[in-house]
Amino acid sequence: MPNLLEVEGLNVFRGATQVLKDLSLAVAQGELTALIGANGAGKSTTLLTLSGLIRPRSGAAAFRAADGARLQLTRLTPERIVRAGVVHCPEGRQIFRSLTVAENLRMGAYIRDDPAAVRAETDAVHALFPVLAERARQPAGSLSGGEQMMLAIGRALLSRPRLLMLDEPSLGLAPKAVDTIFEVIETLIARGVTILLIEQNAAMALEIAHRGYVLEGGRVTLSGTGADLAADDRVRRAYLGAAA
Amino acid sequence: MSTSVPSAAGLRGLIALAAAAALVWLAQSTLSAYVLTLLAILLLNAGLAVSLTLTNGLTGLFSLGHPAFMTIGAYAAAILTFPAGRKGTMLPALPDWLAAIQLPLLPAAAAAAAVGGVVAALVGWPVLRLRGHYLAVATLGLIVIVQSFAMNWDGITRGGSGLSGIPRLTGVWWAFAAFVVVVVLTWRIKFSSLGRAMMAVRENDLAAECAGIDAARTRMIAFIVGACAAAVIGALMAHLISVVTPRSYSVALAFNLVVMVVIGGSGSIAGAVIAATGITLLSESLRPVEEAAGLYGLSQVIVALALILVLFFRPRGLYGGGEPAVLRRLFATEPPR
Amino acid sequence: MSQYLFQQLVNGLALGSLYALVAIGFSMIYGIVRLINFAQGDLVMIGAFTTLALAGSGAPWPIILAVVLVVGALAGATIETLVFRPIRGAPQVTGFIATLAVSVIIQNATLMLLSGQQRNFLFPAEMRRRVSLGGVSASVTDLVIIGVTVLLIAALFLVVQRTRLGVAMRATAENLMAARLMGVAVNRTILAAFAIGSALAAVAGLLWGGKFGQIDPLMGLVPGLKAFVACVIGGVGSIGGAMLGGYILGMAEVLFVGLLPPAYAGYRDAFVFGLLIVVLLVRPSGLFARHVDERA
Repeated sequence: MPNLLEVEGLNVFRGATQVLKDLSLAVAQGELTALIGANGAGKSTTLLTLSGLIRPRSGAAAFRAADGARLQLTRLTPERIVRAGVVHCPEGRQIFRSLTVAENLRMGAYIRDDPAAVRAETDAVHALFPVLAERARQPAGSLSGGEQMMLAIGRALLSRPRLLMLDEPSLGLAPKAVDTIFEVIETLIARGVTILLIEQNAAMALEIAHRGYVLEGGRVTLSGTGADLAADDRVRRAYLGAAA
Repeated sequence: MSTSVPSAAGLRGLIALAAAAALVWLAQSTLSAYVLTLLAILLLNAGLAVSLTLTNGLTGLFSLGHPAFMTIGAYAAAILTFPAGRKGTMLPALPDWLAAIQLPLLPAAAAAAAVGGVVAALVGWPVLRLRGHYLAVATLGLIVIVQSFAMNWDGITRGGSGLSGIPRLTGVWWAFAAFVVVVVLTWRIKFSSLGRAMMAVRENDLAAECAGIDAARTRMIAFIVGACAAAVIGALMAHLISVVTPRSYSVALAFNLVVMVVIGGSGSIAGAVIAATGITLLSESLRPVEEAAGLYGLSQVIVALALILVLFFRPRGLYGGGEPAVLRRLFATEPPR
Repeated sequence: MSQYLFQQLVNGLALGSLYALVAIGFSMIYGIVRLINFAQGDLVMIGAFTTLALAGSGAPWPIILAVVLVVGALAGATIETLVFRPIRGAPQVTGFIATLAVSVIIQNATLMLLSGQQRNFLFPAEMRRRVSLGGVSASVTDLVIIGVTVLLIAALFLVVQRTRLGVAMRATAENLMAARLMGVAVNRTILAAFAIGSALAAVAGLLWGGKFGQIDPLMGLVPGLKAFVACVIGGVGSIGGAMLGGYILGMAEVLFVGLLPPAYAGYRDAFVFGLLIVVLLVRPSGLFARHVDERA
């Protein structure tokens, strides 16, 4: 499958510290690409850079838009990047707690100007996550952690992502909720959504990933298919809890 | 080794003081009364700005309340220095023992400091729980409250007309003395453990508490010291220009003080002095222009614009929280922050 | 109800309406960029002077109201773009100092252009009379103030709750980063919040002049500070809280003046700020808090 996103030589600084060092990776269309690594390795920074909230000092991130054009994400505003179909579901979910569930979903569709399609897709999101329909008028802050994650994903889906970037979807969730979320992610892959997934839960991530990258100290140290990485000794020792 | 350092800095301090005093003596014998008054005002303003450095800069208490304490100090001292005969008729609500006495400036100023300190302690207890801009607005409210009392309690303040004909007891020497006291006090505090405690509280009072610093007490000390200084300077100012009204020390002054602290670098004594000098001279030199062209308020607009530019391009001000290196090397007794 | 009580009620509601308008603007700005806009009171002054300038022209009052709204919105938008946007993200105190500077500039620029003298301000004669309502009478001015305020607040409510802009403003106020990730143009959204908040303050100036009859370039300080107190009472960052806080403050101030001997009437401002300190001590997040700030 062709690459939807090609990142090359990304160098990102936060303050005086260099967080990403010459980072390169590729995300193929229709696949789930996982980015694993320890805390502080630079995973979230990568997504924040791709969604335009942080500017890199150097490097490129080429995204193939719907009309085939190659967009340089590093030079676009976050608003423009969302319109191009790169949707970032940030760490900690970051839903709007004081808005209702329905309003949160509407915010997902903020950039859209096709109300009929939005309504249809909202129904589809409700079908995927019935709890969002039940709690439509309640403030989003009253949802449980797992339900908030579903809202965050539903909201992201309404932005019509060509590339969906998920930052630690399992963070802080009870095991049952984690299972549900990963089932949803697999459903999305089956529907052809391209996903870039950051996870500390490396085992679950690699299980469903087509491709994986291991990030250490801001660089990619290993890459391969999901299965290859899961079987790799170094990965198993560092991230999968295998005995040394 | 270390015992010689404090006395060396102290000796240099005394020499600097003597030199400055000589300059003041020279000024007094050569300059006109107008320039001397201006010099006195400048020294008092600089003293105010430096005392604000202690409260705002070092301890991070963004207090805009200094004018309120100046008002309190001015009225308190003026009531004490007024000739006893006039007081009874002018201020009918004064208790008899107050109406009967007449004090020289020094005890009156001390009393002003005491009153200011007591009010600061009372007000500080609720208000110092606030942080950041909430504290700022609450202290602005303090200005309004004090003005309200000064306007309405006319039995002891003569209401809106204020107190005029205050004996002109302050001159350039008083202003110089006040300035020296405030600067030396602030400098000594800044480079002491109390100063370090204040800076710790400014940065993160939870962490400071963990390090054994009583944050609430530190903030209160800073607030009270600042208030006492403001009260004394207000008293001296009133005895320089001979009049005080409820509106004498108001929000406009609070703003100017903030400007001095910001432009000088909050926490920097030298910066505060330089900024205070600049602003006082600017206002004074623009005054004829304002009168001639009828453009009252021009100097304020310029000061405010300058402040905005500083906030844009150099938010840490002239010296940030430090002092110019030469001063530090000459006068610091401990390694500074 | 006795005439006296009714009068006090109407008085309190009218004064409360003025505070509510300014406080709502305050709250909108604070909610979206966490900035206490000290210049808010001066927008009241701008509205008052704009009205004075237009009143002589003979234009119908609804037009004057609309123009004042637009002038207020433009003033607020200009201030935001020139001064506050460049320092967005700076420490809290820096922002507040900047609003102080803006306030000083507005006040003194007005002083320079027009003198510091108080000017008399009169609503048209039809509004300065009293009208009978079943046994009690009220001044038409007060009723107009209450009515205009209610209409504006209702309109604002519709915008904030039912429009795309409104939900974008609320989202941006809560989480600016997440709003950007939804594609919200946050600069424009923040600008809109400033414009609306400033427009409301300007209208408060129009109404203020009508109620008190005199305006001067420095009149903005007290309404601005009192609006802040109203916000604190109602809960900072909450538009509904600001509105209620405004009315509560208005009624409290009128009651204070009404119930105490006239000698104490001059202390009304001290009372308001004393109330601020009490509220900050007892219930710092206000009655209807939205954001729990680190305040105590």
